Amino acid sequence: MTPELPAVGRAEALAEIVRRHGTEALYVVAAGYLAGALREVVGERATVLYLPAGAGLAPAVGLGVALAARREVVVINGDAALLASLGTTHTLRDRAPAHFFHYVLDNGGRESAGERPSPRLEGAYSGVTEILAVTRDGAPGRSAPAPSANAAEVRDFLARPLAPGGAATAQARPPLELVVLPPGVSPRRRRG
Amino acid sequence: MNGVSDDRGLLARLRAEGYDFFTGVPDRSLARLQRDAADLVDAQHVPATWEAEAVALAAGSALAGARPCVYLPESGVGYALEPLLSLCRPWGVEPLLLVGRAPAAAGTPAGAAGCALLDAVGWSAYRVIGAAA
Repeated sequence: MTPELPAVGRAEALAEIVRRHGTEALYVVAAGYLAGALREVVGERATVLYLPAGAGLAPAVGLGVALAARREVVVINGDAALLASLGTTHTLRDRAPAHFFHYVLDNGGRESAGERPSPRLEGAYSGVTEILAVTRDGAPGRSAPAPSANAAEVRDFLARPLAPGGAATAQARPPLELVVLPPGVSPRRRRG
Repeated sequence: MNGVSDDRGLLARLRAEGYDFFTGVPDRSLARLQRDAADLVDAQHVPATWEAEAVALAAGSALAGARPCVYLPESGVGYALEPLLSLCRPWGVEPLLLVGRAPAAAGTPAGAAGCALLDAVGWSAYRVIGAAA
């Protein structure tokens, strides 16, 4: 039987990812509660591309950016969204450059769609940097910005020269001090 | 929309028009395009697993300054609609769709409806390649 693994708070996990990659990275976040939660965490400190919709497509959008830009691109995805376009993990495996990262926050379902459960993930996938087990923390207090304004902000950010060291990848940085699942171990949620 | 009967020399023409990123899903009527695109560097051509993924890739590349093309079979237009409407349009990016059209005898119900769907939502940035184009 798979051991029960502890989960961390959603905001804590997001803050740790942002701490790891810094403010020179572009963050791409799936639609839903994750988007608002990330906005609460980063405020104006980091540039985030918020998907207005398109379940499962954040990794593909992020890969498209990463292939055309030198900045780190950090995709933050949900477990249900990962499953919605699971084939994309193979495209990422084959084509993602070293400055592309893909985190999956696994709370076991589509929380923003009424706490509907999703099928349990495998412990690891090609094209996924890490899967982090997180708690279900409810609706965030902020919502994503208007898509057209957000796109303009992202275009400006990507056109800006990189700060010194901005193109360096996070691979040499310390690992997250979070739940990092070993291969073959499925994440479990701590409920209530 | 405009169309050509086959894809001979299509990649070179598109590159001459300034398109610099190609992604999509294979289709028999676009075989030459895919073969030619395979010679591009990896960052300029990414075969996708399905049409929505290809459109999402194109949308991201466009935000980063690329001029993307998405090739797909006409039967896959339905899958492409969601990201066209929910990502590309709100973000103000317009990848060019290269829609491969199968001969009528080989067509499917979804294929028959493909370009009509694009017309219905007002997506005009597409070209039909293949039979009866």
